[in-house]
Amino acid sequence: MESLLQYLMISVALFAIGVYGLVSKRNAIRLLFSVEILANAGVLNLVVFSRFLPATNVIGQVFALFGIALLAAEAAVGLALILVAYRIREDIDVLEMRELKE
Amino acid sequence: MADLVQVLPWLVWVIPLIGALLTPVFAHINGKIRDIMAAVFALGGAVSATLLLPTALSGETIHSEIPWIPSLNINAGVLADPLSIFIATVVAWICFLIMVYSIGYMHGDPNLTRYWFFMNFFIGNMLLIVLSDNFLQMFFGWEGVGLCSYGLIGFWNKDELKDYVGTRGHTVLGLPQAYSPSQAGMKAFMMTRVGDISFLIGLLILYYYSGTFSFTELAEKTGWSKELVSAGLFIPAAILIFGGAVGKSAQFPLHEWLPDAMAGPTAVSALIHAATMVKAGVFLVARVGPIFYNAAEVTSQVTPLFITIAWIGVFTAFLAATQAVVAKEIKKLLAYSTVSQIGYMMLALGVAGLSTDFALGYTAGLFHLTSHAIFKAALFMGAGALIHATGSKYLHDMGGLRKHMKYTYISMLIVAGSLAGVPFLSGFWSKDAILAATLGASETSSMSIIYALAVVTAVMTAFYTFKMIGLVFFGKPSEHLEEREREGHHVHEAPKIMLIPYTILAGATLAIGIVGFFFEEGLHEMLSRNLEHEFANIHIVEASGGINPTALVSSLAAVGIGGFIAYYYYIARKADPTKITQNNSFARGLYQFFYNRWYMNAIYYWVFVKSVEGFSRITFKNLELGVIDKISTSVATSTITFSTIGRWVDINVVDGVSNGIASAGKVLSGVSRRIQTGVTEEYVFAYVMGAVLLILLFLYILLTGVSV
Amino acid sequence: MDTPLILIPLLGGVAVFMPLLEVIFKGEMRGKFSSHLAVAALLVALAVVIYQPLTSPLELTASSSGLFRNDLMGLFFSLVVLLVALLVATSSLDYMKGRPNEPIYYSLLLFTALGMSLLAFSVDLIMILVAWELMSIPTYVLTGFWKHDAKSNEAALKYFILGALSSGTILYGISLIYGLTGSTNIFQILRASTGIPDSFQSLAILAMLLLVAGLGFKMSLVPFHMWIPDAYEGAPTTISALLSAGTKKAAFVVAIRIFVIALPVLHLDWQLTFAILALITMTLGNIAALTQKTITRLLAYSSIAQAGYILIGLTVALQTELGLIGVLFHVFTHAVMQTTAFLAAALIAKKTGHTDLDSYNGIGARMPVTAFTMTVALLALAGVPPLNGFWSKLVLFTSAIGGDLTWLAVAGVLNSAFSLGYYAWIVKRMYLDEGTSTTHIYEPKPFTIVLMAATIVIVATGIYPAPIYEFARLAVSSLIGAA
Repeated sequence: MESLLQYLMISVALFAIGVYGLVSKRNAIRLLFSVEILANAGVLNLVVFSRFLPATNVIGQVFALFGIALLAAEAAVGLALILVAYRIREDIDVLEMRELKE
Repeated sequence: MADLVQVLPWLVWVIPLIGALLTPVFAHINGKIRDIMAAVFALGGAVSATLLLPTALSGETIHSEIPWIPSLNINAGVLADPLSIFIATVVAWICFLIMVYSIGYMHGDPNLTRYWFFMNFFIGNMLLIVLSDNFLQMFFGWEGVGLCSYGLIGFWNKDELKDYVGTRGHTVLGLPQAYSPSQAGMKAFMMTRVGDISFLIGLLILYYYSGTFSFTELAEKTGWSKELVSAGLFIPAAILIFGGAVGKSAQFPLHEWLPDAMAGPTAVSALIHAATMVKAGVFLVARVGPIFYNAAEVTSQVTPLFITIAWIGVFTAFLAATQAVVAKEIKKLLAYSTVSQIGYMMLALGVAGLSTDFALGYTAGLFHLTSHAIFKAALFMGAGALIHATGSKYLHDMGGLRKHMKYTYISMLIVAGSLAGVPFLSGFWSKDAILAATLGASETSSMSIIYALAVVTAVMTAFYTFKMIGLVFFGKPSEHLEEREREGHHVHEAPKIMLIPYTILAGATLAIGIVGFFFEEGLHEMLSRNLEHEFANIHIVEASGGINPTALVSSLAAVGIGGFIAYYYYIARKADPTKITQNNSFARGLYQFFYNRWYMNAIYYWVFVKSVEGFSRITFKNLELGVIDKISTSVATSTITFSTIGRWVDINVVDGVSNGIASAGKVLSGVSRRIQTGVTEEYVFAYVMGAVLLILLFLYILLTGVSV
Repeated sequence: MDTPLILIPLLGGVAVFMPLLEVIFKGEMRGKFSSHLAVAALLVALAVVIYQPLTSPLELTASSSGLFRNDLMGLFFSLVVLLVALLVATSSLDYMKGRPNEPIYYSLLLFTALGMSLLAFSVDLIMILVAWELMSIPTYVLTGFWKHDAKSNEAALKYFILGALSSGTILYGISLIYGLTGSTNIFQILRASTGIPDSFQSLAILAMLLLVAGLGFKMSLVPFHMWIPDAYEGAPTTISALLSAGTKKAAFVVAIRIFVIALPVLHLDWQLTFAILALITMTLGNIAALTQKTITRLLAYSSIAQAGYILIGLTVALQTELGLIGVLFHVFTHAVMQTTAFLAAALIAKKTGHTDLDSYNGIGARMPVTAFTMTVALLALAGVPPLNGFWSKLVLFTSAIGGDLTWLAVAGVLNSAFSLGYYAWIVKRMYLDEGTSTTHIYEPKPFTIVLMAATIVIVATGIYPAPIYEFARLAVSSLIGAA
């Protein structure tokens, strides 16, 4: 029998993986992945809560759909920015991007 | 007609402000019209103020208000009571005379549009301070005069060497003591701003507890004092507001800006740094003192405020007088003297709240304000004429000028005599009144020390005043003057447009001096009636005036002793004063100590300028760049294990076996690279760490129950 | 009248239509048509927003959809953000002239404007998230709009990654709130939140903290501010104005709606946490600003410091009504002054090709209008009376005393005084220092009109602040009353 706690642990794990990826990776695409994973933790939460809350609470699922759509838009913009970055530098290592600093 | 009188208090300060805004317009027509119109607008203010005098003499008050932010109970308004009308008239006329003088003094300067703009803008703001009916509007004018003062001290922004104030090459504690006009302007601005901050904080506290900025409301409904007292903020708020006066009026510990403000044109020094702006602080105390005195439930509640005012006043008077005694530049001598004389006024306003008769010290302070404004403005204008004529600002570069500049000599002699306290000149009466008021103070045992300091200061005042007269007008012409003579620059009397303004003021000094006793009585009558009328808790002891024999004897003795020493050394020149410091090491040390401004200037500079500069740089480097870098780095270090494992997982599981062959060395190099975190990662780190810190902070507050 | 529902088709429709212009028109006409269309659309939107408070100021019309609440709070904020967008769009008439993809630029600008103003009305967490993304995503592109400029791209990427992180954080926080209360409507959450068992309090705290971190990113609170100087420096300077004066303000309205309503119910004592955040934010912003060498970074740090002042009001929102009024008041004044300063900087950057402070020497004589408006804006930012910045700070600092945080008021006054140091320094450079050249520089009409108009607003609301203050006061009472 599945329980709320199990799902929440998964979502927390996803969130943590996202943060870890953001902190440790230097490839812009990987950063994008990490952001997506992190945000999907929230989406998963919404669905899970919708399932476990007292009956007929579908707002969460609706919200999840909205969330997925927004994430897709965000990812598209992010990917475009990374493409431009690649075109300018032929490299997407965020470590190399430090022109803007003091 | 009644309507006109209602509008007049507005006109007094609005006319000069309009004049300021129109200056560029007139400048487009031609330079001469611009110069004349500037003086005309100043005259407009002066005439409007004068038209209010009948109201003041009949003891009436004009109070007109318009709503500003109604729901905050903030109104714009003017309060023309005898106090403000009297001060406004004096100020406005002196302003006008100095504007006329400026036409001659500043003749030919290429940036006159800027000059007239600032001058008229200053006059408008100064009169706004005097006539506003609430603290907030007063603060507007307060900031306005500060900005103008900054703009005018640094008026000669090219910073040419001749415009420097102080002796170049002279250093104290490793710091040069000469200031360029821009530096002096910035210094004045920053230092008075310390006072402004204190003023504003005091105002905010007062406003929050009383719900109003209005003087009249604060005087009528005194319930606010109870709440302030219970919050423990009654005296702190009053002292914070007084802090504004300390900054603006150059009182200890914020007195160091005024001497260097002399880098500005002399007309500016006469207007802003002698006659008007520096008196704004005294005026503020004259406004705020009675309000707090009136609101206190028992007099002892408010005593600490007045003791502070009196002590700061008398100490500043003494401190600045010692520096004036050894000053070498004529304008600096006058500046120290200004600081010192304002100290007297503060002393008078301070002892007002310490004696049974509030009006005694109050009147004395305002009387001295008036007489000092008149004679000091004249002294500065005369000094400007002397600098013009001799091409030097140093006293020892002048000498024997009484033959060449007869009118200037006579005028200066009168006003200097007034400063020194020679009988039957205006300054004699007002200083005597202050000494009498100090003797009348009933509180505290330290009053005798304050009185002694005041008398010693009076001796020094007489000494340095006549020293100045002696060095400038007596003896033989200096080498500097002889050299100029050889070059073909003859010393000649100042042009009429400069001469007339200060001879008028010298005449006024004489006139007030002749009717001095009655003038004082009249002023006392007018102001005390007004105090009684506005404040329920201030009671006036009738016929408190009269001559206090002790005060009279002390002030006569002071001028006699100080004047005689100065006469002996500098006018009759019976002995060479430089021998004193040469032969006596104690005197030499004292001389150095005074000349280096008790080392306060240098210490301030080290403590507040050098260290703050360094602090801000270091803070930025370490906090913004360093600490956050370090946080991220240390977090990175502490998570090395974690991240190595992660990397291992990446390599071995995610990226497949083929990459898994990567050697341990490669892993380590990856880790070490990661310690040098990349910029974006740093930001993410900071973000995450910020969130974590926030959680910790909040939990800490929650768990320990810290409350504010 | 349902303002948000009018704004959606108005701004959204024009924005969607705009890219088509790229196809329909050729050459110069593209830019000309799209820019004027954008300005017109924003003007109409502004008129729509102003219409209601002028005609029926106290009437509250709950929006039919339930996602919005058509109250004065929303109108106030959408007025501010649309005003900023309008100023930015108008000055872009010149700033973007002749650049590629002009219609896209204006389309994105309108989307951002729509997102910001919808955010002002949203009372449903779903809508808040959607509007938030609608506001944010276009700004990522706008920041990186100089496609061939490495700096612009770098700024955009940094902004994007941090922005996405903050959105993810907000989403996670929202999901927790939903889980705790079973609703996404703020008022329903309110009703449900009383039923949260004590054992779940910690989750509620976590949710709120995630929201603080997420919103703090846009509000530019230290330590969530790291991206700001970089993004402002790399982005087209008009967009820096939009980010600093527009999107940041929209984050504050969300903060007001969520925290002020939710916190008292959750019985959380936030005051000290917020007070410390405010103190750190304003102090660090001001200290860092003092050491900057380029105008964009200086204004960025100054903008961070100003966020600290605004946070003071939020800190004491529950103790005194003045707190929130101060927030709204300063949001308005700061939006106008910061836009003016940034747009003046944009013009100088465009004309001289530099953003470093040394290039400001002697600008006063070369670009008189720009230098004058910049001076007024900087003095207003420093809080010099009688400009509008003085009043809003006065209200904020007074509110701090009202909230028994006198030390915070003292810190605010000190910071404000300290900040005059670097603002006055720029003014001194412009007027008193001599530059390398003295030739007069042409100042294009769109910029001068925008700058003068904004300056007039700064001075006028400074001399007579009552209308804005009243508007802010009514807006605050509309938030608290009739919940």
